[in-house]
Amino acid sequence: MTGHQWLLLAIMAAVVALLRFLPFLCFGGKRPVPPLFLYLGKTLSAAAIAMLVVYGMATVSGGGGSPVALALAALIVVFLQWKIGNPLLSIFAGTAFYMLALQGFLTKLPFL
Amino acid sequence: MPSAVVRRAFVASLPVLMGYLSMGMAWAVLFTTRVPGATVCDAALVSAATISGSMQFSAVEIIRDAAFYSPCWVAFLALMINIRYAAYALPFIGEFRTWPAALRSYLLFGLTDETYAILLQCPFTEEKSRRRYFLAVTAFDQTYWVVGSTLGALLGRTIRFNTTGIDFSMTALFLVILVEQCRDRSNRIPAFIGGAVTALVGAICLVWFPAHADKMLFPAMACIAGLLLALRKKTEVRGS
Repeated sequence: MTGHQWLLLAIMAAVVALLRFLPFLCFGGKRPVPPLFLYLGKTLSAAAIAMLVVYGMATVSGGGGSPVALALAALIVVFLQWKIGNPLLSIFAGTAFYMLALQGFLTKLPFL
Repeated sequence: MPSAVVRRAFVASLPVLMGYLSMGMAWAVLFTTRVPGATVCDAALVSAATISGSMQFSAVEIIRDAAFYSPCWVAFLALMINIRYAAYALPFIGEFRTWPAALRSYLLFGLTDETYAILLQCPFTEEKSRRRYFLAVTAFDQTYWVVGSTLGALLGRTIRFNTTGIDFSMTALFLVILVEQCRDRSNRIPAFIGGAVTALVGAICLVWFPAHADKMLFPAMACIAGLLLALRKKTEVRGS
């Protein structure tokens, strides 16, 4: 790996750490947390995750897989997580399905 | 014999043990097979220093094509991808103020999605037990993540394995976090706004600025924050 690659990795680790420290850096003293910040902290984190889901789906579908397979894989993840609530199972099942579909193992299914 | 507090922390962290071992392995397989020259030590080091699935999965393609990325652009991407972390320390600020600076810094450094969720459910009320519990959970979780990454890097280099489509696991991780957040009804409207605005901004970028469609996260985030602020004013006026 090159020096530039390590620089980028260090930047990413530093930004993640900075974000985790941020509330304490801003409001760690005696000052109370302003309600506006509490509101944004709560709503923005949920909105940002939904944003990442949409962005992730767009990026993954750019990889050339079938949109139907992608939608089904996402449905598998959401259904398993909602009903069973085991992240390991949900992520593994959805990813395995998508990989099998993309690598041509599921061509017998009429809808793929 | 470990104390009762540490044992409670270990039991609480067991779901994370399963999740992090598999996600850490999946990430390290991806990292060592996609990035030429990445070693087992590299994967373990990156995991120990970052402890973030969303960041590290996104990092793989960035590091693979590192020549096309400037430090500023990467810092901005990292900020956008991980902005939710900025909200996680908020519930703990009050009690962290009186805790030792070294302990506090480590706890903040290791505040992942899963660790945050477990710490919120801490069963102890006495300060000394809470400190121990927080430290144990954070250290357990970080260890699982690093061990998973090391195992994955070892396997990834010995077993030949077609990884086409494994990038979906990152989207699956986001979906899982989204589902967990939507169990709390008050998160559903912000989540809907986030998804709908991103789809709209993405479509606009694709039609009018196709060359820059991959940079849609910043305008999307700005629109989302603006809309959320506008909605807050409205609900406040209605409430008073």
